[in-house]
Amino acid sequence: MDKVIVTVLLTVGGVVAALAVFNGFYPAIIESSGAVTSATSKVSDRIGSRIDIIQVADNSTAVDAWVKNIGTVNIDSVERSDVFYGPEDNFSRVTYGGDTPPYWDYQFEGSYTRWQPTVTIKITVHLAASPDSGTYIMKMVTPNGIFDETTFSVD
Amino acid sequence: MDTAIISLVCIAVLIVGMVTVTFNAFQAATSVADSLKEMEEQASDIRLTQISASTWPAHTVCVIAYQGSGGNGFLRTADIASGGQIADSVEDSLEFDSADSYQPSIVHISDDVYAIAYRNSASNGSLKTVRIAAGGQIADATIDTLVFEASGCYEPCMLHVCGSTYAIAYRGPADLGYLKTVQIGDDGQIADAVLDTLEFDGSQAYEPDLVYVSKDIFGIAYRGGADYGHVSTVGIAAGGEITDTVIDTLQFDSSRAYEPDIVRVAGDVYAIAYEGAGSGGYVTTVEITSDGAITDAAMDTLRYDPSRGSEPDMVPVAGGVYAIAHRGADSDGFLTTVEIAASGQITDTVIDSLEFDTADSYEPSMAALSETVYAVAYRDSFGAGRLRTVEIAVNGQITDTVIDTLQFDSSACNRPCMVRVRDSIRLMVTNQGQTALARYSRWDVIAQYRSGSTSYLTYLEYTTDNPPADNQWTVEGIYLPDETPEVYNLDILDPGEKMKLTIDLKPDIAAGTTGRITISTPNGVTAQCLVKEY
Repeated sequence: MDKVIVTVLLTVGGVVAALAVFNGFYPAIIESSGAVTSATSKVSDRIGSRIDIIQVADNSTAVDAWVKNIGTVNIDSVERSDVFYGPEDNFSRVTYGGDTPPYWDYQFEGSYTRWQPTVTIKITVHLAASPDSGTYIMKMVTPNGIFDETTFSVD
Repeated sequence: MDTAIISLVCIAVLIVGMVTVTFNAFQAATSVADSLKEMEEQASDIRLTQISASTWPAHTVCVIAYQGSGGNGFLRTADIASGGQIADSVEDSLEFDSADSYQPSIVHISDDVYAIAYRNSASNGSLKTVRIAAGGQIADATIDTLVFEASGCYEPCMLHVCGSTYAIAYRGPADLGYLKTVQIGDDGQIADAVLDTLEFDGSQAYEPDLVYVSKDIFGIAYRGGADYGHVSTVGIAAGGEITDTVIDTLQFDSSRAYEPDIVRVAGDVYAIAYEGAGSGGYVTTVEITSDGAITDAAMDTLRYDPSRGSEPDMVPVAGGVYAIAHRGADSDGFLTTVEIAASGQITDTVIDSLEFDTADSYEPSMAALSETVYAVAYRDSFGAGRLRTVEIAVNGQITDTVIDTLQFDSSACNRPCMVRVRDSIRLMVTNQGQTALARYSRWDVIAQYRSGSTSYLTYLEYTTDNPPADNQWTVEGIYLPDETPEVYNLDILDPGEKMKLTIDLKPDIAAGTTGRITISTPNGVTAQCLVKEY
């Protein structure tokens, strides 16, 4: 009789222990797998992202810049990029969209609708007035932190 | 026994977990490695890609407007090879006015449309538009005509302002200085009425010459009262509205200044070539700020030809070097190069000089055909129209002999005015890297330039059509290093090969200015090329 009770207790204890081990390890394993996958995806995304500002110049009360995706992955949510513009010693972040300058917007060159590799977008920084003569900086930072910047002069 | 089973289950769970983690880690490492490999390949691709861009040497067609046989107005075109050799006969000819037509001034309007401002048989100011194809063929009839001044018009000088607006400065009624704006469409149609008028000098204004200063400011150099040299500034809006008064005026020569020709040197500095005291050839620099203010005194002056400097025509050569064609000693044809610094200082001695015609040579009109080849059209000692080409190095040294000669009108030629016939821009892109390049639709071509008083920044669309339409570009051909057509791997720009790009800009780059073309390969390797519109 005692042996049966001990066996039952051991069985129950074993099952509880197994459940405890399973509940403890499995989520951790799944989470760590997910974290590794997510981190890998982000690292791959960053590794595969690259942009190049190929031309920038003032155009009356706007500044136009053509930025090319020279990476190996699509860059999505372009509007969540950061654009910095201004004189080289006093530039600032420009907000995306809106009606009141300064703000920036973009359009795809050609018939493209996604910023895929080799595709170029035209970024326009709308200004309240024509920029004064001098040296200016234009910098773009994509949502995943990849950036390119260039200096240009305004006559 | 049960304990053992439970232990085994626990161990199995742990093993499965470790395997899962290891597998995921392996997958992650593989994914990162793949990405790194891709980027390394791309980085390598970019490292191995290198291109250069330059203008493609090409023949040039020039059009000469002049008063020809019977005093009538004529146009003639001549084809000139990149080395300066002139075709043995004119390409085409048109009598644009079958009555007296004096002192024509011709400018390019758009595509194949040109406008000629001149004094007609009634001494009124007349404006006509014509079509001249890139190959030099002139349409048989003029497009449109406008008499913009019905009370006397002498020595008109026309300049593009903005869009379809053009300015004409001339000596008008009572020898006063007048400035008018007119509208000419891309199709050559001229608006029936003048846009605006300003009497810019109420005393006297002979031989006015217009120059672009800044966005809506223009300068006029002319022979004013007492034959003194004057330069004035006026404002002209894009729509043609002229300021009611001149902005500023400077008397740059208080002796005499016949037939002044003004060009921009750099920044706020302008140079004026003219026939001055003792009929000598002079060049003077003045300062005009972008708002039209003129510094109160001339900056520097050089008498570049002590004997005679009549009817000068000055064009920039390169890096502060300017060439002046003029009627010199004994009325022979001379070409002189001078150096003018961006500060306005003129080097005290001329760089070089060439007597391009040892007989009488009147009213020369010069055009730059390339960086080193120039053409001069003039009236020769027989009263005929003659065209000569000369070579001027970028440092101003002139080759001692002319390259070629053509008598483009054997009967008569007065006051020729020559411009290049506009053609598409042709660039040479050389693959200097180690990878083959293609996928031209993924290339970027961006043009930055000025036309009239407006700056343009234009992204050009790729097309497979040749010729391309407005603001498009195409690949005209791919060539081996010796510029013979490619033989292998057709349509791919292999290492060492040259690609001819044809670009059609609308509007055109303003004459006398330089545009910048940026070219980018699909992997973002860029090259830039400066395109000078002579």
